[in-house]
Amino acid sequence: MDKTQDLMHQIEKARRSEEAADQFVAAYMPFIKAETAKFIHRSPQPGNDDELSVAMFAFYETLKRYDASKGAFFVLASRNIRNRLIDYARAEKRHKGMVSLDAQEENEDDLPLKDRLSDGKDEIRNRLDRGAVRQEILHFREVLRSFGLSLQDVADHCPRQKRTLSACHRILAFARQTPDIFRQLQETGKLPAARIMEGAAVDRKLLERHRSYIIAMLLAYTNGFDMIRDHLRQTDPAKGGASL
Amino acid sequence: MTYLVMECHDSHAVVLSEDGRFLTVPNLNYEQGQVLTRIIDLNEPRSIRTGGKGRWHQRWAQFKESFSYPAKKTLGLAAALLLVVGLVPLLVLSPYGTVQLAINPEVEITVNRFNQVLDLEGLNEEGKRLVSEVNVLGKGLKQTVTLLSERAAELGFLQEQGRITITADGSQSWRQKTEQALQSELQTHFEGWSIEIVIGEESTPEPQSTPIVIPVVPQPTPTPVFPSSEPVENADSSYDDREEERIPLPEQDSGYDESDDDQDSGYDEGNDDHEDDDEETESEED
Repeated sequence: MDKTQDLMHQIEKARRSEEAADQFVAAYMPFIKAETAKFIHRSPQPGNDDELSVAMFAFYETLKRYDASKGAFFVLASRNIRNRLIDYARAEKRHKGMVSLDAQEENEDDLPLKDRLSDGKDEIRNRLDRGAVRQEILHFREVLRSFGLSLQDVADHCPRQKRTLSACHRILAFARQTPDIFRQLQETGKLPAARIMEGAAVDRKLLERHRSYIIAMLLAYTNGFDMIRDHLRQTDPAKGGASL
Repeated sequence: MTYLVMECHDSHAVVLSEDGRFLTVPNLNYEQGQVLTRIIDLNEPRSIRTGGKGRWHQRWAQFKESFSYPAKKTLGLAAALLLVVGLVPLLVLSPYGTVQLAINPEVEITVNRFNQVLDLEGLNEEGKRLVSEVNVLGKGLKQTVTLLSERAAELGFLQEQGRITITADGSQSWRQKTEQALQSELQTHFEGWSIEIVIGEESTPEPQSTPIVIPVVPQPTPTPVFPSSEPVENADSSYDDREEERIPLPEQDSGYDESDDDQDSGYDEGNDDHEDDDEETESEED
């Protein structure tokens, strides 16, 4: 019984803290590897076998969604790993014939395919930029933290339905027209709910369900996050894409 | 669609798509700040992977998703209302009982539970004549019975010393109530005439069955006048055995004995059969 309680304790900790989650996953890598091997019928190679990454993801997913009433953790984890591997296999089947951009070339001295293909942009600049973007991202994470949010929180509350996503875009558009909203957010640390509800025609339910996401998006449009915004503006209406 | 890698862990990564979605995905050796053109998105709506549900299902799912919560609530309410409203014809148009009126013409009136006329049929030659050019659809039962009787009188079918037999068919309580109500209605209507209003036996096409006779014409002594009271005593073999036990009773008794309950009215059974049919049809449609 102690063992179970110990496990439950670990799971609870892992659900609360990202670090603890990483540790939990690392601790059970042998289990994850074994489950993957059952499916792909060979020994999974970390770094090479995407299936292993998928299995780890499935394990992480189970961890986040677990609650005691659902049964034994590892039984569920095993099932989820298998299911996700199936999903992955199906998706891969569809993309069969496409060469992965990350594929290693036979001659290891050659650059991976994705770096050899010209994508129309300045490739060297891209590589340098990555470092700069990283800085911005780290800064972004800090700001989020000051609002009590983690990137994981934001991802968890991101709208999935087109309808809700559009509504959130409306909120952003409204805020950009009414810069005061940003100011209010930063000063009070909270969303000016009533103004947003009215200005963007959304109901309270939406605001509450997607609060973390909305805050993150609004913050991304405050000063200092040019590169992130650049990335988002890939689909600017001005360039003929979806509205953002 | 491109994705900016925001955060990396051993077991997953958080990426930001061009259209502003933050996604948790498997980490395939990503680096923070990297821009991906492809991710393993296991939470894709099934429509994107054709290995999943079919096109119609995905269309339907998208269609369902396109409704806001308020819209869904309103639609739900509307659907519920429609259901209730749809029940109304069921109540109003369903036959609930029939009344046979027999003088010489024999007619049958079908009514709904509100005693409104659904159908009028002549059962014999004279009956058909009586109902021709008569439109009583939706009218009240009493009104119809009176109207028909009047018409019978006008056409000469009903005369002095004539007899009107009323037979109702349907649920027990309704039958009794209706027969008595109609009887007293006609009695009042034809007061002054020497017409007998008589309640007939259930579910027989013959109006001249063994009834309990309640004479209308005030007589010195209330005596059974109806001639076929004699067959009661003589036990005609063409009738059910139980009729032998029937004794003409004085006015106060309603005249119905327990044996009525035993016999299913043909009408009720008809109803049940219909219900069964409906159930069978529904399951076939499934």
